[in-house]
Amino acid sequence: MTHIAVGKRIPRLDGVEKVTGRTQYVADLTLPGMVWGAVLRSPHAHARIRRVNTDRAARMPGVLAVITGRDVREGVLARERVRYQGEAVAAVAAHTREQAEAALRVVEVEYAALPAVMEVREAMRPGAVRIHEASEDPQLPNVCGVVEVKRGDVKAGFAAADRIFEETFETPWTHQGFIEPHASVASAEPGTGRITLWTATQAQFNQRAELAHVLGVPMSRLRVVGMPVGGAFGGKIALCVEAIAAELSRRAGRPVKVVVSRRDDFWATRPCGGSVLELKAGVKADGTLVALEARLLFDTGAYEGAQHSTGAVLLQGPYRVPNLAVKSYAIYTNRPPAGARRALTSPHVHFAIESLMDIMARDLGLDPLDIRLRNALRKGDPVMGGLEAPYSSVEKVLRAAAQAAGWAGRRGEGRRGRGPRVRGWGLAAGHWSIWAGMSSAWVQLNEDGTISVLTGAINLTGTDTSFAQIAAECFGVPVERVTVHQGDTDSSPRNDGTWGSRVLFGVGEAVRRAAEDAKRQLVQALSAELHAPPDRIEVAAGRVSIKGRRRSLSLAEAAQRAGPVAGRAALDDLPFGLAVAAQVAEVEVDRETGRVRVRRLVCAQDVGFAINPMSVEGQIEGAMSQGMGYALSEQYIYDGEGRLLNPDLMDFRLPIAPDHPEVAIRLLEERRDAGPFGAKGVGEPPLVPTAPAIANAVADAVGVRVRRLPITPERLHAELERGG
Amino acid sequence: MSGRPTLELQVNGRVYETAAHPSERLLDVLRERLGLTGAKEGCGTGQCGACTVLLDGRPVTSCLVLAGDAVGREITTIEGLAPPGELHPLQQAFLDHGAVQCGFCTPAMVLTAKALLDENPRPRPEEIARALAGNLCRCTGYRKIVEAIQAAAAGGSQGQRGGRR
Repeated sequence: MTHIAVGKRIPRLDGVEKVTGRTQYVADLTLPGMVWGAVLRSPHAHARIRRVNTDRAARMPGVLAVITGRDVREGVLARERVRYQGEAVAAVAAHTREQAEAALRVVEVEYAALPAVMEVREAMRPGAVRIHEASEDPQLPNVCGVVEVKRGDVKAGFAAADRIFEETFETPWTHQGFIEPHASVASAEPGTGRITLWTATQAQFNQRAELAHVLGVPMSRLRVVGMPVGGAFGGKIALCVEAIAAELSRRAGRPVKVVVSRRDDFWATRPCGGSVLELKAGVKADGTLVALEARLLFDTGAYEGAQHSTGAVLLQGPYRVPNLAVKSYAIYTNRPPAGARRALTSPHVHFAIESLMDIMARDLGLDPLDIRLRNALRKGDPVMGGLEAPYSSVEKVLRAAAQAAGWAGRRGEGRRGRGPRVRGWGLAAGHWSIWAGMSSAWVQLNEDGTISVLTGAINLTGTDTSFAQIAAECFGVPVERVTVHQGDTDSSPRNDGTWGSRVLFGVGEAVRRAAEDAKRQLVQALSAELHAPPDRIEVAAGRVSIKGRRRSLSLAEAAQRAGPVAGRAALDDLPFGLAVAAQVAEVEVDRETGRVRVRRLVCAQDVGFAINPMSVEGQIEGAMSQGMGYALSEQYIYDGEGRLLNPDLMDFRLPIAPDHPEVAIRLLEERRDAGPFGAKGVGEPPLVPTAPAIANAVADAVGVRVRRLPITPERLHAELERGG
Repeated sequence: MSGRPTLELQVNGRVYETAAHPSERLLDVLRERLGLTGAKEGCGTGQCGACTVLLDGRPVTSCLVLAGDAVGREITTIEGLAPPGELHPLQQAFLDHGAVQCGFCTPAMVLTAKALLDENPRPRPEEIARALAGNLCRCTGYRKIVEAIQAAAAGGSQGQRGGRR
């Protein structure tokens, strides 16, 4: 099939603004009369608040408003107790940022420190300090959610197994690593009670709903304007300082800007929670998986955070598991409330299952590729808890990655080397399900033949450019004729957040349907106007033609004659897409220092159809970079009292440019998905296999396996000293 | 007139008189007083590089520079890299190569690249990566940024102005 707009490498439509520095992020926004807000945060991980005195702060120069937990509804500021370091306790609005910060310094808070519980295994032990009073099961204090996924009969499975493997893996707390800290500007209109919020969010409609709740305001009086976002990766979904800014603005009678500092962004936004994953697998001697049992402990932090159920259903990996019993727990600790990170808890559980696959392969004398191919998920196999795989590209993707990497015969090469530096190769695969969610779009044909697309979906990854390509394709016009608007919650149709790799899949399909709807309306209107039956009118290649008549109309002429044409589509029921990626990592390990350098990463991924291959590659390259950080360097480090020791970008180390390896990408375009032109989401799946591929490569290189991420030089060095 | 001393700064070839105190951070003076918000604050401690501007042609993290120390020196921000309506070849290359995603680090990346190419017009990829070591990007994995800079370097002289858009 030939296309004129989709399938092309089109530069991002918002790119010119971005390379010239003209894009306005929230922190760049200045409104008339705007003042600054600042937030006082708890230095304790766990404490009772005995007393808060704001009298002095209120009298400080420039101060317009001071609020504490007593002044606002629940969920905005802490009242009697703080449950993590960085929990917001009070806030100030003042004319300048310096004045606001100076006022914070004289807010008196008297705390009575409580013991902090920082580790999940400790937190769920009977007798542990309770972080919330109410807990259903006294035998499981601090457990706030349990999910079970079961199929077949694991007992029978283990009985039929030739070998049983039991392994425990751990993943760290990490920050999503966006470079733009959280920020919001709120403006409460005195008199009308209307509140407008300009904020860095992935989910403007969800924020509106949450804000309506915590502010006690009807949604119709709230306008959330999702601004250009300087990176989010799951970390900008829940409210951060939005409600605080709004409460300050209500009292100050002025627009209030709150910009979160880097330290506070580490302390108190919603980082990705850690986990302890206990797995037991039964296999036949030929590597066939017959049973998998797991106990998954997800740290949700001080308040209930991101869903752990996703990890429970994804634990099986992209494999056929006939007998499965997974029990997953969400557990409170005195850490920040856990948020999502790219692919939620899929990277956690794939680190476990993909490490285990290699451990089993090695023990059984099988090639890591072969054990995966033997167990590869096939069409109709159960997946995602109780669903049936609509198709499976697992085998194809695995073979494509192996072939691109030159996998055959690579294994163990490193250990044959001399000297401190040895090389290793590792393979891992991963899966992720893609759901359309609530998706809607409007497509309007303008009188000059240009096209305006409006969605309420936050453009993070360049999806607006893809929407332009989709609408252009439907009308057969160049992409330049389409403008895409990401409206706010007042002006645009309702959409779920930009998460789960759903936007291109769901909203992209809504754009396609809305464009088709617009074409249908155009044809209907022209039918009367031109005295031709609708089935003889065709919109194609940017023109409207009538069968049997020589003269065709330009889109501009057609639009003028037809009157208003506004196509719309809303959907939430597409069949889910199954995204699969496989990666091969080549690493060099220094046996003396434990330092790991990634030399090459190869990714093969079934993307359905690449609407914009340049953008798709960008997603994969970025995801693998994040996966490298997850594998090797990123982690929250706390002291025994729950104080974060590395709340900065030097000690919480993101990969930097010189760390990056050679990259090879193979896109598989199966076009079987329900998204536009057979496309599906691509942003999250490629993060999933990176860390286990690197861990497997390290094990291949040095024969020692690290079961706890990140594989820092210290940790690997210690394992090497112990001899694995 | 208050008689308050003014601070004179040369930014993008123009002279600005501001009421800024010399101890203010250069980043704040550029953003808050001159409205040049292309320089971003990602950390405030010189670790992320998003606030990079050029001081006499060399990249500096403007969150760590006091405005007073920039007096008498030529400051270049992203807003001054190309005439209005035009793109510098590096900006064009970043666009064409998909080196821009969220865009928050982009102005700083482009300026760091400009300083590199002024000094080393044909850098090898490793030299480019090393030059970018102080500029964090979380979206791209850096590969397309390095490619864009290579392409801009191959495409012609650095002094040349004007873009294709």
